[in-house]
Amino acid sequence: MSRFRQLEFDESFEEPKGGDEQRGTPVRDEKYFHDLAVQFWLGGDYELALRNYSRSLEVRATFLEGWAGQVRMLIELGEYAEARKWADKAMELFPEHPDLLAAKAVAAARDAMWQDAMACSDAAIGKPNAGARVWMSRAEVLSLRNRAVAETCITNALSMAGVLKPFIHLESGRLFMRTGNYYAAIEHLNLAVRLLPRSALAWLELSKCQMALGRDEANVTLEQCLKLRPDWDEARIMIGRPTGWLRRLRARIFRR
Amino acid sequence: MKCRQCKFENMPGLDRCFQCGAVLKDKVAVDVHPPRMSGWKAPLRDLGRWVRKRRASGRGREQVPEAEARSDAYMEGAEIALAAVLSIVPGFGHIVRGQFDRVWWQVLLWMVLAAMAVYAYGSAYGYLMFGLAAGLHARIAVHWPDEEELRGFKRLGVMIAMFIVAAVAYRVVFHGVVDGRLIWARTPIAVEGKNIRTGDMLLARRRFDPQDIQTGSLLVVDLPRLLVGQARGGPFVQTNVVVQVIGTAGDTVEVHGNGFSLNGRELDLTGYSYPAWLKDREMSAVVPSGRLFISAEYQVRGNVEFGNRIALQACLMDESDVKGIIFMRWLPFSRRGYLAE
Repeated sequence: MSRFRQLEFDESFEEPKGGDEQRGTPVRDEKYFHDLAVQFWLGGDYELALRNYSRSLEVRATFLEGWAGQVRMLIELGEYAEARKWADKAMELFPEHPDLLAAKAVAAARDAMWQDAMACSDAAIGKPNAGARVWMSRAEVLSLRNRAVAETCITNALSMAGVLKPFIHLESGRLFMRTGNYYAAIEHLNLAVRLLPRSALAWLELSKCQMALGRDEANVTLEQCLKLRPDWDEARIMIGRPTGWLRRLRARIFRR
Repeated sequence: MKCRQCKFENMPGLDRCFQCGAVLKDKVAVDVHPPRMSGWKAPLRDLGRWVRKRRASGRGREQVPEAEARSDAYMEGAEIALAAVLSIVPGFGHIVRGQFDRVWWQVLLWMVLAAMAVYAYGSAYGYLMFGLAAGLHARIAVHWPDEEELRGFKRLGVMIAMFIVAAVAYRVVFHGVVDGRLIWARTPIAVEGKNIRTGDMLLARRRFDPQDIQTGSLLVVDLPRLLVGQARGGPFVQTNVVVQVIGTAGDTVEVHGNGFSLNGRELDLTGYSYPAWLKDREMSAVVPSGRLFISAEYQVRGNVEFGNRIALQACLMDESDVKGIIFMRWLPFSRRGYLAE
């Protein structure tokens, strides 16, 4: 703390920033909380991720990634109505922003409101600055209606992902797994764990996929996930599940 | 001041972008904590979602833009046609399409019904199972398109057509797999020497050499009911009844109270059944040509005593009325075996 703190200066005076930085403490700005939120999301802790997105907005209320992240976390938590409401609220600040429209489309699609989902997805994709997340949401909306076109959307998303590529691979893998296309899912999830080796979520999704296909390495993958997040109940429950010939046979008959 | 969203260069002092309406200032007074769902709402929301999904799947492709639906139909048409052809084996088309999880329980049920139909082939139960299996087969075969395209009478028509095709196919296949000339009958008589008890299921061959019908043979026949006294109504014929041959053409059969004599020789009742309604009755007959003297458990209707003439008439039957000659104990499993053994 500055020793001139108690002295009276005019109002334009601001204490110089960076004092804490020099001592190695990170600046707790919106980006700091955003990064934390992403870390928690990759660790599968959606509640903490949501809280950190909120903190990032407390620092700067016009931080778009914070709003979009909040909506995504509400979707992860299965609170679709709230996610749509919050996307509308965010769009008061960022009218018709494609990322927010895309997130709203996903929330509507998962809530089985197909017409709303298609309308939002159409609106998002029509914007000039539609990015990878918009195409991912398009893929999800279409895949829930059993559309083969969804795969093309994922290809588009990956082609414009840039730095988001690891996340898009993870999301693609999860999407394919939800639709039962485990072979396509496992390709994306393998890439995701290679690009995000510290993500417990990616490891867990990969192990789920391997388990559905009856592959023996599922337990090893699951152990890797538990190393990263030992207290994750979802992973701990799965560790005892069999991956024997019966599961392989079932996977062969029921899945392509 | 440049808008972050649309990159429009705005005049200084504006709160919102002139072009897109996005906020320009970093400091805005807004609640940043999202609303959360109460725990008790979750099952209600799940229910609502389930209903919406059902309604959406009921509406099928109506919601999808026409051009999109057409292109999808074009892409999937060949695959559906292949799956329909492969559905000659129930569920195989779905395996090819990777949708077996949608019909697995139906296929399992079909297998059970088909097994029961094969097992009980020739009996009324067998035909019932046969019909149910054919119907289920038709249901499985049209399962994929019925949810998306076939509705109402069109669906019913396709189902009936598929049922007929399946039934004809089964008829052909079953005759190849199972001997179509088998009859399956529950015996009302017990024959200790042949290890046959009342209620056992016996299997008979429809095709047989008349020379095979000998004293002691067990036959499957359609018996008329004995109508005596004031009895009226009810079915007049019992179908697929098990009877035992006591004498063939030219034999002299005597009934004496609680046993039979054949050509003057007393028959050992461990190898023959003696029906209850013949108890304490005395009579004898020479079996005419083309007829058989049988021991059968008639269901007697009416409450008036009847004489030997009616009793004799009931014991003599035409050889041409024989439907099958029994060769095997079918049920229970513990006593299954050929009668010749």
